[in-house]
Amino acid sequence: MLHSYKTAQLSGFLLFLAAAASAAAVLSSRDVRELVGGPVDPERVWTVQSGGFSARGDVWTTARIGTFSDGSAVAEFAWKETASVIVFDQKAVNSTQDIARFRRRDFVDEFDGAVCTQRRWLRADSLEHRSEVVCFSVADGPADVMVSLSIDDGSRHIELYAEHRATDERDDALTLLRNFGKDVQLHATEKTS
Amino acid sequence: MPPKRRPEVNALRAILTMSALLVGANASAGKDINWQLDADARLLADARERLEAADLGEASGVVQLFLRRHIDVRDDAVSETVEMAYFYPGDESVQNDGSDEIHWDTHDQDLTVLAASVLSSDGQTHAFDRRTAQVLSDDSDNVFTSEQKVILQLPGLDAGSISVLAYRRSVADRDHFLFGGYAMASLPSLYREFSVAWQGQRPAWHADETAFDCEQTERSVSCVSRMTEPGETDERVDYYDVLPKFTVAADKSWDEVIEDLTAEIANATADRAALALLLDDVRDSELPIETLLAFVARKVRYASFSEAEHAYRPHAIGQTMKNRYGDCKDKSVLMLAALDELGVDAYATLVATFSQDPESLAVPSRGHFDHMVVCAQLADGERCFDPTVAHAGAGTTPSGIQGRTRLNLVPGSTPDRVPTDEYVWEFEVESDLVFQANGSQTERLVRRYPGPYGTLYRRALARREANERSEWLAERHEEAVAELEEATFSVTGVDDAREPLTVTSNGRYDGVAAPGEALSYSDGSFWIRNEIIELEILNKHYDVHIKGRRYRSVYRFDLNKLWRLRDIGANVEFDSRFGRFRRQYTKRRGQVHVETVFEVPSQTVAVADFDAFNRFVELASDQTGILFWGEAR
Repeated sequence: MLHSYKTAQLSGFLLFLAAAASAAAVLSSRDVRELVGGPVDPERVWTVQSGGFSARGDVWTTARIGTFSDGSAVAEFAWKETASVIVFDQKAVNSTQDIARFRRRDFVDEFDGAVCTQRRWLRADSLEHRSEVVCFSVADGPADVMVSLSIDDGSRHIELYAEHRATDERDDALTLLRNFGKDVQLHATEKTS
Repeated sequence: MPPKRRPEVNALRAILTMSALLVGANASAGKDINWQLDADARLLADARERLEAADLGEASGVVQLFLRRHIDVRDDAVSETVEMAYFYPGDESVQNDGSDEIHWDTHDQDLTVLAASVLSSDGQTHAFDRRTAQVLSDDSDNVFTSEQKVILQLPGLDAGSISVLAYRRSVADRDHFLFGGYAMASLPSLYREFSVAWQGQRPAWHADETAFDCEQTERSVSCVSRMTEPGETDERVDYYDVLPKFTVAADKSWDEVIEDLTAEIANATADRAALALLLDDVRDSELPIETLLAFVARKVRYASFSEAEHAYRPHAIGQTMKNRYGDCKDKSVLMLAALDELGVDAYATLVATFSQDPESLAVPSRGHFDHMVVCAQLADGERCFDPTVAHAGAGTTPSGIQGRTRLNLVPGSTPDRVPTDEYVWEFEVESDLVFQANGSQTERLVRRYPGPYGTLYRRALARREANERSEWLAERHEEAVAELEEATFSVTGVDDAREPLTVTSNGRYDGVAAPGEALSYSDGSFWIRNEIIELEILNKHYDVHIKGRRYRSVYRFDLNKLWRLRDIGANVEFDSRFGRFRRQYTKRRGQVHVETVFEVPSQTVAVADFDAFNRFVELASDQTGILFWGEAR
């Protein structure tokens, strides 16, 4: 497992260690493929506080909540058996900066010598703030890649926590994870989900 | 926010005067004021009648029962009679609004007080004792008002009482008067009427259609306001521009206003013999205009002598050179004449320091303006000089007048705005920080302030001795960042405003890091952060004019081989319609370089955009923190 606690509640993460560990134990005993749902419907809007978000991803499929997270996610997605995206509703939970700090620290604590980069920008013609942390493991052999993308438009704030386990094609893996985030859009009001 | 009763001020420009200076309250009591207190009974009866007819419900604050302003334009004089009455429903209203004041121009107006008394809750009438009147100067720095105000502490006020006040201001100059007032007060008002009657030529008058109902006859007009609720107040607003008002002035065109004043300036600058020595020095200078400005701004001290006919008439430049003092008009025409001798295309410009909307000057009159500067067409465009600003940086129009409503005294001109630079407030910070083995950090910091910031620093530093300067700079440094140990400061550009004001400091911050342990470093980048935060808009009702900001900082951190650099913080590119924030980290052999740029060009932010603008400001200020991590060696 890449991480032992995949939860929206970063600030109190110590309290979640036990729960996340048990979740990890459950996951390790299951065949992930059984938990994977259908393809991503671009018309679907997942509900978060004060609105929702939509996603695309021709190569991605939806997964049941709890497949990759501790159950606190609002949506989960899978690519084959090695990549996943977990969407957390971070509104009123964590700031984008808290998330960036925590995800980086989390990764470098787990992977000695890991390299992380960060960038932040505003989506064109908007005040939608996007904050991205990208980390690679640098040990010999297949690499683990993590991308945490926070999207905060002032009213809604979600985090896309994406990881690709044990890949020999690090750049391709990064592109795969980043492309998912590019197509995610926040919506002011809920549609049907 | 204006004082509650200020909208009653007669001369509209007086609303802008910010500072009041006591000028011998007792000695001046009653000076130049005629007391003719014979209208009290009539006004009290009127006020009582209106109060009885009104349904004030649970009103707790002061209510204006009526305000009547009548302007009488005669062949030989113009007078304005003001009658007003207030009701005080509770103790708080008495405490907060129990004093009255009248503003007038002591040089060209005669003031007669016609009524000042109180009908207290027990039915007793209390007349004002004229011996208790306090006369205060109502002048602002560097503008040519000759305003004074008399403060009247009305006796006998208690909860449930009524006060009345009436006065008349007269001017002998029928050609240049300007009177007016706002459609609403800053408190509830039951009735507000503005009227004018005239002999001979009809004066120019304007009443905002959205606020007044007017009736006109051949020789009079009367306008009653529909605005009974108080005007909205805000943090940053020029009320002159946003509140509907009634204005009446001598019927003149802008060209006639310009003609009158250019004739005065021509007289004042006709004899230029006194400029000879000054011009010799200026011509020898590499930067003649800057040298001239420095002379007029710093070698001719500011002193207002707008006595008698000099309210709008500058003194002869020979007299100003001899006196070595003058007000904005005197300094401006002195500079104008010298620029003319240098062959520069320059012209005097009237400025309304309380307005940024030329449309708010509904009728042509010089009375709208309270300041004079000089503008010139230079190779790189128009630039305005304010010789009352003693330490203005070179190459820019002083920030205080940028964007303000003006009238160039050039035939054919109409009011517009003093040009605004895209970026007005600018600075640049360069910090070289070296981590030390004992956990401290040494810093060499260079800050450059080219424009108005430089003016502020110069103003503060110029009046301090060398040792006091260091102390003052150390205090500012601690306020902005943290205490700097063993700090030394040096400053350049204080005496010569042609150079950017530059502050260089060296010092040490203790207890910054723990060598031998992993480094998780954060720096507030406070020089920029503190300024960004200030941009938050607190207004609620009125658009805000923002003067452009451009800040740049470069921090160079040297890890001094104490740590191996591991990660750096986030590069940031925030481009928005309001401005941009950019942060770029660069790793360089044991060093981290962090460049930050924040730019918000001059702009007007509409009320509907306040939330978005403030979000941009908040997002930018949130990104100012510098982060990097290192492994102990």
